[in-house]
Amino acid sequence: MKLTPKISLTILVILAFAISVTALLNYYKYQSTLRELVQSRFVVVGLDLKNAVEGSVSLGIPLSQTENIQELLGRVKASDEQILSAEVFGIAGTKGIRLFSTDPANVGQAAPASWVTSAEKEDSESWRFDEDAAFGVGLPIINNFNKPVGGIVLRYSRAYQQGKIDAMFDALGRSALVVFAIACGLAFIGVYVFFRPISSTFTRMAASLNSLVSDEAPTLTEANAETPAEKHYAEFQSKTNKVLEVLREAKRDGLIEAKD
Amino acid sequence: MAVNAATPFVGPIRARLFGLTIVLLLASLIAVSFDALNRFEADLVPEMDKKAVAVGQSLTKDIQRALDYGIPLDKLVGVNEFFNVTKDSHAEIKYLSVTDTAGNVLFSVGDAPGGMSDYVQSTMQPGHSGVVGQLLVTSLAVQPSGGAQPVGALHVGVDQKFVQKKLEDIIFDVAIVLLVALLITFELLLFLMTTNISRPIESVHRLMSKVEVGDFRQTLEHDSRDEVGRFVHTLNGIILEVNAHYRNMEAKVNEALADSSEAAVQLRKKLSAHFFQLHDRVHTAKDARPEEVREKSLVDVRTPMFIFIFAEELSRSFFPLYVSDLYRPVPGLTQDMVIGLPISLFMLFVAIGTPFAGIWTDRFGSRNIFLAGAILAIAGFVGTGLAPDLYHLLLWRSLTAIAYALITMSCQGYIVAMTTKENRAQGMAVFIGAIMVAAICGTSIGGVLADRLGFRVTFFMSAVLSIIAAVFVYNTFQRRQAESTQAPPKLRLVHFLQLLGNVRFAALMLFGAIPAKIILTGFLFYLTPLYLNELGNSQSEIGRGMMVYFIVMVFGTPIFARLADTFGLRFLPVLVGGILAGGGGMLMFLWDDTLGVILGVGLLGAGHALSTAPLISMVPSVCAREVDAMGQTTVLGVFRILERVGSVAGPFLTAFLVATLGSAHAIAALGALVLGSTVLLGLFFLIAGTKTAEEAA
Repeated sequence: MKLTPKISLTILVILAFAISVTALLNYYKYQSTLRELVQSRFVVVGLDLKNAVEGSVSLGIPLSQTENIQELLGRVKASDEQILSAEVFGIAGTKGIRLFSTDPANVGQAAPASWVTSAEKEDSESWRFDEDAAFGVGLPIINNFNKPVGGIVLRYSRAYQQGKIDAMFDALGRSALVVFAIACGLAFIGVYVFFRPISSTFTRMAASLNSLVSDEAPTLTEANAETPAEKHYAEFQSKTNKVLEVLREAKRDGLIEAKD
Repeated sequence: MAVNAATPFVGPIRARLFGLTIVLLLASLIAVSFDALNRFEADLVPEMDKKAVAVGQSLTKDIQRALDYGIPLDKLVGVNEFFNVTKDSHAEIKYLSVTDTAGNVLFSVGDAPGGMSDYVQSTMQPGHSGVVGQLLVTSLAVQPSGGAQPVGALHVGVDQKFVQKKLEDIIFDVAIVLLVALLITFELLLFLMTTNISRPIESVHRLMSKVEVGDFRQTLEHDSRDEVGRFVHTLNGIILEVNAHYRNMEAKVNEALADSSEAAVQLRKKLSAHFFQLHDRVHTAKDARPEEVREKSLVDVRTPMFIFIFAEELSRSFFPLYVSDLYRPVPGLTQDMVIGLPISLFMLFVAIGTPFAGIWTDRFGSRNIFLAGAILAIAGFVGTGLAPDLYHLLLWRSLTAIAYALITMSCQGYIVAMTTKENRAQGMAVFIGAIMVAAICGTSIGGVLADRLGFRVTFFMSAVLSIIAAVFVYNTFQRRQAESTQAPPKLRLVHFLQLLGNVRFAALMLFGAIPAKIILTGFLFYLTPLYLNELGNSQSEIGRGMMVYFIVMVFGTPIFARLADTFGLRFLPVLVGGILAGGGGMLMFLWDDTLGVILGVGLLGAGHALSTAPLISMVPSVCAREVDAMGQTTVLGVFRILERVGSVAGPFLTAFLVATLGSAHAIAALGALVLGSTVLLGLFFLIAGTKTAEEAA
């Protein structure tokens, strides 16, 4: 491979590395920002629900017997098509059982241990979790004695966010490719311009050296040498040529075997 | 980068090439990030609007409840306090207000954007959104339950620049990518320029100069097919031809000399005419086979060293966190000490392994020892990544430490072998430069990788990089290494005892070198990742924070060294460096958040950049007698080993301090330790002087 493409390729590898890492960092930032934004929206919805439930609990009604919760959950789910389910589980006395849910089949089932642990944490304001098909946020339900008595969980669509994230990935990938293509072109031009002196010097020197080998008049001489390297070469060539001439003369006289 | 002077026209081309790459990198990264910002804004603003609606609905519900109790809208109490809580809970919400049906503002928090009153007058549509100044304002109707007429409106103003501000967070990430890309660019281009251009051109020039004076005893080993390669190929052909013809002719002369026939006499005359024209002018290889030489370069050692240290540094920003994931109680040690244990053990094995690695390098050659070290490193990284518990981790890290000692010593051995006493410092500067640049790149990229791929996968990537370094050395290091011009010193116990008997040397170790290593491994390597994690920073952010130390070191060390040389200062930079490093730690007393830690790390870097080289250069002057007796290399070798006591003790001491004082105060205590020892060092040398009266005389 010639010098120019070799150097160009190296620069392209570096550019590809830097552009792809930057595009990936941007993509990850979008992913986390979108997720935070959507999550914080559902935390707001969850907080509304929490205030309503805690209002009942503060009146002394046990969580499992609070009548309007099921209706509240249904209303919340209906308010946003991205909400897949809303559930309330208890801690004290109910051992992490799901007490209310927009999915009736879940009522009476045990809540995941991680929900219960998160709700029981003293400093817990909200927590989040990932499932295969959904993201979720949870909020603890606190009674008048500032003790957690249960939790509220909202599960919302993962597909919605994933669709947006995938589309952003494609868009960022496309623009990174365009930038890379332009940078490639500029890199090739730049390297060609900067390396032409070295490349042409060596091409001229090699051509002249070949003519020396073929016993022809050298193409590069002290008269037409331009760069310091060519001047040095011309000097070398004239001295070497004297040695070669002696040897060739000896060869012509039959003093050196032809095979050599 | 070759030891010999660069050929004149290579330098400007290299500079232009770096310039071109930097400009292209900057322009590309700015273009990619600018495009991303525009796309993010277009995509995220509707999501922010949805959130504003959700917040608005939540607030209107509470207002509605009050209205349902019959309280008029303008008589509501505590609305602003209530709004303030909401505004403070959501970073993007900058303005909240309630207006009556006439558009009069009844309650508001945050700065109203210019044109808000016009907006309020023009719209009372529930769910309406509009851009007012810098804000995207969403309005919702405020009305009692049961479908009553609205009595007012709630306006939620969201900062339109929120997305942009979010993106500003990654400017640091992008800047780091740029810095790392530039440093890697430098390494790659350096390698490429040296192997393909500088070295062959220099070699060609050297060979042409030899041939010019009739020396045809060498050819060049160069197997590329580019312009330079083709030229070298032809040049080698001419040299081979001259050798073959000359030897052929010489053989014939000898034959003719042995033959006394008339034909032989004639032939001899003819041959002599030619042969003796060349005899005094041409030197050929004895067996007509010129030696094939390959010019060595420091890049041969710099590049694999860079790759290996990069691999090792990938885990720097998360290693203590990884250890805490594998924590298992160890009798007699606190949890903090157990977390510090693998770092201390690593330092211990490096310290123990280094002298042996030096001896083995001399015996088996740099290439073999590097390759052996690489095999151990690969096993060590894979084993660390797979470690099921702490004890396995300790085993694999110890193995990696031995690998580290083998690899660094083999590289040093290679440099010693290819340099002379005069240019060895330049060679070692190349070596240290590679380590520091790799530390910058490895620490930051390691953090990003750990964030995205996890701790274990990052160790596997280190193993892959070690394979690349090994392949590199396999291809570039010579099998038969040239012998060093200087035999390496053999360290003996008596050397340690003699040096420690010199009270000045002992003071320099105890109050200067060892505390510097304690704070390095204790604060930077052990506690910074743990504390930054405790403060809620991501792995990328931790990597970024730690990298500040290496950046300050890389750029600060040569500047401070030059200043110290210019003004002939040795002791003052050591003192100022100690004060800076100690002050960096003590900063935690005042400023114990993320920024404070990063500033402390930066000050530690500045302190070490200032003091490391002068501290080492003080050693020969405080040990003039010992240098005369055992040689400077031995004295410095003892110094290097003894200072590692600090590296081993650092994590343990810090763990003890953390258990007693907590993380922030532990860092501050380390700072106080360094500051205190620096003061003692200053007082000691102020009273005792840096030389004995005898030495001074």
